[in-house]
Amino acid sequence: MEMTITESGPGTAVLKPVGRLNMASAPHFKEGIRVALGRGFTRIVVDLSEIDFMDSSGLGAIINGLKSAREQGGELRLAAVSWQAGLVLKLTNMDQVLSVHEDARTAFADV
Amino acid sequence: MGKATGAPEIAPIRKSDPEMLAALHGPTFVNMGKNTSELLGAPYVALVLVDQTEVLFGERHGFTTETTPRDSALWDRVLTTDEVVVIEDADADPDFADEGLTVGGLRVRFFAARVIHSASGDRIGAYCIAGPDPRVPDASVVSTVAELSRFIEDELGKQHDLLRVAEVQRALLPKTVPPLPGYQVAGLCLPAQAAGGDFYDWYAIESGLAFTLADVMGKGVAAAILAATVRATVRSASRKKNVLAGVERAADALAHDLDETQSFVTLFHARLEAETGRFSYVDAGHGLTLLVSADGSHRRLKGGDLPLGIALSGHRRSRHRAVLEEGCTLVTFSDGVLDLYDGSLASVDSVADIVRAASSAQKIVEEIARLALEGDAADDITVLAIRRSGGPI
Repeated sequence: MEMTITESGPGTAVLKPVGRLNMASAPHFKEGIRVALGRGFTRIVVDLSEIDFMDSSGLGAIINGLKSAREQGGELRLAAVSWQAGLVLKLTNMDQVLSVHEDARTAFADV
Repeated sequence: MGKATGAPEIAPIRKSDPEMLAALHGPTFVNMGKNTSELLGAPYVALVLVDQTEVLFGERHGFTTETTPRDSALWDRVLTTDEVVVIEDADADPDFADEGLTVGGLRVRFFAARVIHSASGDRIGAYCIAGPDPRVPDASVVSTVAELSRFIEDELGKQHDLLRVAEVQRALLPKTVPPLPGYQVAGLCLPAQAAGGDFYDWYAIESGLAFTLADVMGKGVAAAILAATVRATVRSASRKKNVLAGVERAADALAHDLDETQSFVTLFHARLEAETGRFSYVDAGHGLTLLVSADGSHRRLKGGDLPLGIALSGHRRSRHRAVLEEGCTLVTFSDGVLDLYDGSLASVDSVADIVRAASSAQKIVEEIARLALEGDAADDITVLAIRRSGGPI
């Protein structure tokens, strides 16, 4: 799984994983979150527009990122969620916990 | 529990043993013969296992023979030492000079092999290289044969462990249904790998039946260990007076383990009152439970609560109630079932079709098992079906 990390505003980073977010790629994704938080980005946007498939391990990695961000007084939000990833969020009711936005650039526009 | 000390024994395999068949013909060692042949410059390569009377050729290169008799002096020599056996020129070897050495129908002069031990240390076969011309192999060739045979032993040991995990996990599934007049109960759990994070469970309670379907994040052995923990915790928490208190008790007990392992569990847990068909349930992020009525209509049971292991807020779960009317079927299943269709929520309607067409609860799970095996499912597939008889009980 490829992933880009780009700064999109003060203290805000967009992580954009590409391909499948699953058990195999989850450690790589978690490492990306760790790197972003380590560089002082406490507002993390996970842009899922290039994710073809996400399973429960992928969701677990995102939840883990949310916990880590909150521990540092930050927040993690999702953007451009596909129907498949959206279904995983909906069935698990994690859409109540994770804030979902249409566009990565405006995910933190309200703060 | 180790074996008694002493020399390893030659332990013939059983040809019907699925573990050994997988070793001989499974994907684990595919192309190993070809690669070994190129690496060591040996025309013939074979992984062999021995049964009572025959040597069975598994992954091999340079020939197609399946078996050869075991009575040759060659196999006695290979199977009675842990060292690499090297025959530089069979025609100059007193054991073979008279008739020449034939292996698997091939005339062989150079031969080198090292025994393969099973997970319990018995000698069950060998990894062999050979050629039609005499050869004095480099020390590196001999040591590579030894290393490759040890690699095979390691792999067989891992497969052996995995199969034991799978056995234990299967043993934790309920095999019999408590007496429940007027109801049929059936379950299915097909892990995508040897073991997995899904399970179903049921057991008698005073008023009828408690049942669970759960899906631990991830796949494989790590998920299976957590699944066994979740099962035990939910069972022991079921002594609580209602279904919600039971699930919350289990969630609290599991919180630390799930946090440490960075995992979470989706779960449907219910208690059915046999006399009335009334049941109460908690849906912790599961969301895939259907009620199919006698008239053929179906609805997805309401959920709305978070999985176990998600403790981001002071979220408390809720208890829901519904009734399994006469002629009605409840089916709850893991999300792997959706992937048997198009993966969308529309797949739920296809599951309802199976329920309607099936003549019993058992037939429902059999049909889903058939689809899963046909489709080479990538995710764990678990189903629990309960049907209440239509007529007078």
